[in-house]
Amino acid sequence: MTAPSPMVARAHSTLPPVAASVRNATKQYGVGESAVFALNDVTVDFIRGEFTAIMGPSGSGKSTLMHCAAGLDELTSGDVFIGETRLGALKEAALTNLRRDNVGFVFQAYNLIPTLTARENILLPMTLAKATPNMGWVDQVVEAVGLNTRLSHRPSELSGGQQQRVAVARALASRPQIIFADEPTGNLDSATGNEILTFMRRAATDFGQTIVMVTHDPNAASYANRVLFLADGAIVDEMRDPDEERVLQRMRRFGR
Amino acid sequence: MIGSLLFNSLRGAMAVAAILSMCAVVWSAFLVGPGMRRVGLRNMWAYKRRLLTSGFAVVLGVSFLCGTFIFTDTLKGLFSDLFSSSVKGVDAVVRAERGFDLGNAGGPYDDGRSLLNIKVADELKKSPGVVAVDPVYSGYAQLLNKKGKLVRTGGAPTFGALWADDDELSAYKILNGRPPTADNEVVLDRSLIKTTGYKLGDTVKVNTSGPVVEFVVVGDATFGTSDGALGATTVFFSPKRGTELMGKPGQVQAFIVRGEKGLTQRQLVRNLKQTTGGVTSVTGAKLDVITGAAFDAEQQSFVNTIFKFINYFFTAFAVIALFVSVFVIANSFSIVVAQRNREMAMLRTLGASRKEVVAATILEAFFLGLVASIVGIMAGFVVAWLIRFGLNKSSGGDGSGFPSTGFKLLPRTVFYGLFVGTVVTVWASVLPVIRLSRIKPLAALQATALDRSGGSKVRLIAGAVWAAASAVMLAVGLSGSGGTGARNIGVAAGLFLIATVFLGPVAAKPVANALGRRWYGIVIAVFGVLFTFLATGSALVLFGLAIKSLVDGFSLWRLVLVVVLLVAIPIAAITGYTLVRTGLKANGVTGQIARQNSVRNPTRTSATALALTIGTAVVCAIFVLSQSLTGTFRGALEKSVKSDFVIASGTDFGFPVEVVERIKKVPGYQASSGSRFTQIEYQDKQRSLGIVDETGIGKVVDLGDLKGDIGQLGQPDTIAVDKKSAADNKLSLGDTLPVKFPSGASKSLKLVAIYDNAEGLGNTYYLIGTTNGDKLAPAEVADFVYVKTDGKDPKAFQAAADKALADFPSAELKTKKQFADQQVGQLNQILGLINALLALAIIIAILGIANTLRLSIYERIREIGLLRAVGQSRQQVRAMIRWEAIVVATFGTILGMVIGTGFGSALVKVLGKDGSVKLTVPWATILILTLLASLVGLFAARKPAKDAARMNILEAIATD
Repeated sequence: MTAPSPMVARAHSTLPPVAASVRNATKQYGVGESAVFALNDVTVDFIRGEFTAIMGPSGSGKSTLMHCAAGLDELTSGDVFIGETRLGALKEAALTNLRRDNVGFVFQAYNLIPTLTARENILLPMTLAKATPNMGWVDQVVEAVGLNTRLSHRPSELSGGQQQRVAVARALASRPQIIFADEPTGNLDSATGNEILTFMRRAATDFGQTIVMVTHDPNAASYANRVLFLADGAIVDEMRDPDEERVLQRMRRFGR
Repeated sequence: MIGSLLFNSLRGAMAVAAILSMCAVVWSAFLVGPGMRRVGLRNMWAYKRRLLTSGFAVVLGVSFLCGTFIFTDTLKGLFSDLFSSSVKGVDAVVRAERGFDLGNAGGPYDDGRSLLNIKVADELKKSPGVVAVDPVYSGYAQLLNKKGKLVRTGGAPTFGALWADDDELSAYKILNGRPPTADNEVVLDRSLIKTTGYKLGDTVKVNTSGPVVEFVVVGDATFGTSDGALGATTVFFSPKRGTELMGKPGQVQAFIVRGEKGLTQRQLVRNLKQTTGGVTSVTGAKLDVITGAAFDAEQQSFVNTIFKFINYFFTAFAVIALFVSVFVIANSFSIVVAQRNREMAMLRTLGASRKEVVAATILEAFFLGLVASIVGIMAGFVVAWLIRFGLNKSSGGDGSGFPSTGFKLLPRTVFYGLFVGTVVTVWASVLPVIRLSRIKPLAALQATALDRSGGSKVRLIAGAVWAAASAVMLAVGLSGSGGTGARNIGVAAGLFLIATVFLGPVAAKPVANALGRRWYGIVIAVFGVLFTFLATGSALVLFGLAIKSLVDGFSLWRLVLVVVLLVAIPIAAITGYTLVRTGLKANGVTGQIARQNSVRNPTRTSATALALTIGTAVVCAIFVLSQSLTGTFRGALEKSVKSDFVIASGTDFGFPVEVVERIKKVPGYQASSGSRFTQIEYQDKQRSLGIVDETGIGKVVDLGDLKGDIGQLGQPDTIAVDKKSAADNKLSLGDTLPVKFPSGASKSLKLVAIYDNAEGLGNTYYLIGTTNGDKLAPAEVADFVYVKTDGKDPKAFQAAADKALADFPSAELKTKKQFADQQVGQLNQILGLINALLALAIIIAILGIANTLRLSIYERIREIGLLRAVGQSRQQVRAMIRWEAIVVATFGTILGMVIGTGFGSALVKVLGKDGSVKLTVPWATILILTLLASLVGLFAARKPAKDAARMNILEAIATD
C-alpha cells in the first residue's frame, strides 16, 4: 500500500486543506550509543475534517507523536504546523494561546476540573481566552452529546461516560483546528465507549472537525477515516476506511 | 477563681498530652516491624522538602521559647551576680524598718524607708566586733557629657552614691586617683569615663535633685573587674556632699557594716541590735538590722520577681509561636498523609495493619520533632542574641547596654525545648493519621480529590460547646474587674480560639466564597495601585536620602542601607503590580477556579487560615488596648487639664522638684499642679497618692464637681479623696482617714475635699498638699507638673522657662500636645517591640500557608496540567494560585480581626471599669491590617505559584 506523498497532496489544490502537519519529526532521548528514537523522521498531514487514529504497539511513539503535534512536547528536529503556524518558532506564551485557540484535547482520564460544572468545563478554553463563545454552536454540540439536562452538574455527579462526553464537547466547543484525543475510551465500558466514538466520527463528518486519536483498541480505531500504524518511531502503514477485523489483523503482524 | 482552675486544668491537660504522646511513641516503636521501618525511612527521605518545611515551623517555635529562656536566664544570672558581688564584703546592714513594701524602686537601698542620721554610725562603731561602718545613700545623679547633654543609659539607672571608704565594704575599687573627700570632688565609674572621654582633673557637670553642679574628677572606679554595673552608671560623692545633693544633709538610707574575722554575721547583728536599742530613724521608726546574707537573699528574691514577669512576657510569645506551629505541622501532616493515602492503602492491602501504618507515622513525627527541637534549641541562641541586640538598639543608650557575655543554657531550657517540640509534633501528626487510617483500603485507592467535611454535625456541636464555654467565661470576665477580670477574658479568648478550630471550616466556605469574587478583586487591585505608589514612592524617597547621607559621609551601614533600598524599590513595585494583576484576574474563570479551590476543602482552608488568625487576633487585641489607652490619655489631657504647658522629664527618673520653684518666677506664670506621686496604705490596701500644690491644682486641672475646699490641703494632716473612693469607703467631709506612708509613718488625715474628676491626674484618687507631702513622704523628683500661664505670650514664656531651667537638663517644658506625643511615643515603642515579636507568629503562618498551598497543588497537579493543556497561560496559573492564597489569608485575618477586636474590646471594658480606660477601636488600622493580609497571601503563594506555572504539562497529566 502506498501513501500519497504529502508534498503532492499539498501541491494539489483540489485536495482538502491540511489542519495540521508534521514534517521530518525526530524525537531523540539520550545521545550517541544509548540514543533512543521515540520518533524517527516522521512526516504526516492531518487533513481537515478527517478522523485519524494512530495505532501501534507500546513504545512505538504514538503518544509522543500526538504530544509533539499538539505542542505539548518539543521535537529534537523537524517541524510541526497547526494551520499555517509553525510551532517550533513559538514561545511558551504564544504556544499556550495557540493551544487554547486552535487545539482541543480529550484525555483518557481526569479530563475535567472538579470544581467547575459541566457547562463551565465546556466553556473553559473560551473563558480562559476571554473569548465570547458562539452559543448557537455550543448548544448544538451539547445537544449532540446529549448533555442538556446535566449541564449544571459537577463532574463528581456525572458518570464516566458523561464526563467523557463533556470533555469531547469542550474540545469541540471552541471549534479548534484540530482535536487530539489520547485513549478517550480507555476508561469506559464498550457500550459507552462506542457512543463517544460514534459522536467523534459524527463531529468529523458532519461538522468537519479534524480529530487525531491515539489508541491501541482496534474497535476504537475502526471509527476513524484512516489509521496510521507506528512502529519504532516511524509510520509503517496506513489504512483508509478501516474496519475492526482488518485493523486487528494488521496489529497482529506487529506481534510476530 | 474559675480562671485559675482552668489554668491548672490546662496545665494538667498538657502533662497528660505529653505522657500520652510519649506512650504512643513507645507503643509505635514496639509495633513497627523492620519492613514498615524501612518504608517509613524511605518516605521521610523521599519527602524531605516537605519534612523541612514542617520541621522549620517546629524549629521556629522551639527556638523562640528557648531563646527567651536563654536570654532571661543569662540576664538574671548577671543581675544576681551583680547584687551578690555588690554586698560581698558586707556582714550586716542597718536601716530603718519600713512601713510597707514599695518594691525596690530606685536601687537596693532606695525603697521608701525613712532615713537615718549619719551620726548613727558612731553608735554602730561602739558595738563589739565592728571593724568598719560606711553610710549608704543611693540616689539619682546623671553626668553631663562634654556637649552638655545628659549621658543616656537607655533605661538603666544612673546612680549617685556615697563613696564607701572601707575597701571590703565597697563594691567599687579605685583604679586611678583617690576617693572624693572635698565637696567639689567626684569619682566616676569607668563606664562613664569611657563613654564621655573625661580625664582625671577635668571639671564635670552632674545633674542631681537640684540644679546642675560642677565637680572635679578625682578618680575612677571599677565594679569588680567590669567598668560598670550592667549598663547602670554611678557617680560617687563624699558622704556629706552626697546627702546634701541627693537627699537631706546628713541623712542616709542605711549603713553597711563589716565585722571582725571569726565573728558570724548573726553575732554581729545581735551585737548591733543591742547597742542601737534606743536609736530611731529621723521620723522615729525603729531600726532594722539584718545580716549581709539576708540582705543578699532579699535582693535575689527581688531579681526573681522581676525576671518572673519578664519570663512570662516572653513565654507568652513563645506559646503563641508554638500554637501557630501546631497548626502548620498538623496541616502539613494531614495533607501529606492524605497524599500518601494510596501508598498507605497499598501497604494495607499488602498486609500491614492499620495500627502499623499509624505507628509508622507517629515514629516519623517523633523523629522529626526531636531533630527539629534540637535545631530549635541551637537556634535559640540566635533568638537570644537578637532579643539582646533589639533591646540594646531600641533603648538608645550612650553606653554598652546589656553586656555581651556568654549565654547561659540551663538544663531546664533544653528539657522544655525537646519536650515541647517533640510532643507538639507527635500530637499534630497523630490526629490526622488516625482519621485517615479509618478509611477502607480500597476506598482510599480510588480516593477523589473532593472533601466535603465543612458542615459535619459533630463539628458544629463541638464548636458550639466550646463557644458556649467561651461565652460563659466572657460573661464571668466582664462582670469582674481588674487583673482577675482581664485574665478571665484571656481564658475566654483561648476557648473561643478552640471553638474556631471546630467552627472555622463551617465559616470558611461562605466567607471564602464571598471574598473570592469580583468586588474583592477590585479592592485588591486598588490596594495594589496604592501600594505601588506608597511603597515604591517611599522607598525611592528613602533611597534618595540614603544616597545623600552616603555622599555626606561614608559608612558601611549607610552603604548597606542604600543597597537594601535599591533592592526594595523593584520589590515594592513588582509586589504592587502583582497585586493589581491578581486582583483584576479575580473576575475571570481563573479567579473562579481559585475561589472554588479555596473552598473545596474547608477543613484545610480553615486550618491554614487559623495559623494566621492567632497572630492577627493578638495584634488586633493589642491595637485596641493601646489605642484605647492613648485615646483615653489624650482625651483626659484635652478635657481635664486646663494648663498650656507641662514640665516633663527627659529621663526615666523624673526631675528635681526645685524646678517648680524656678518656673514660678517666670513672667506669665499663673499656677501649677506641683504634682508628684507615691503610694500610701489605707484600709490595708496600697493606693496611689498624689502630692499637689493646693493653691494651683484647682486652676490647672478640672477636678469636676468639688465638695469642700481643695485649698485646705495647705492645713496640716489633710487629704482629698475622689467621689467614688469616698463613696466606697463611706467617707464624708471632716472624717479622718488612718493612712500609712512608705517611711512607716502613720497619720490620721482629715478629709477636706471630695472631687469628681480624677482623669486629669492620671486617675489618682487620694491627694495631699505639698507642704504635708514634703514632711510625710519626702521626695526630690517629680514626673510631670502641669503649668498654667496667663496665656498672653506662650512663646515668650517657653523661651523664658527654657532659660530658667537651663541648669536642670532633665526637666523639659513642653506644650500639652508635645507632652502627649512623648507619652504616646513611649507606649508605641513598647508596642513596636510586641509587634516585632508577633511578627514571628505571622512568619510561621505565612510558612504554613505556603506549605499547604504547595502540598495541595501537588495534589492537584493533574488538574493544573489539564488547565494548562486546554489553554491556561502561566500567568493565569500564577494568578489563580495567588488569588487562592489571598482569599485564604484574608479569611484568616478577618477571623483574627473579629476575635482580636472583640476580646480586646472586652478587655478594655473590664480594665476601664474604674474609669481609667475608655474603649477606642482603631478601625482604620484594622482595615489596613486586612488589606495587608493580601500581601501575606502573595508572599506565601510566590514559590508555589512559580513551581505550578513551570510544571511540565505532560508529566502533570501523566501523574497518578
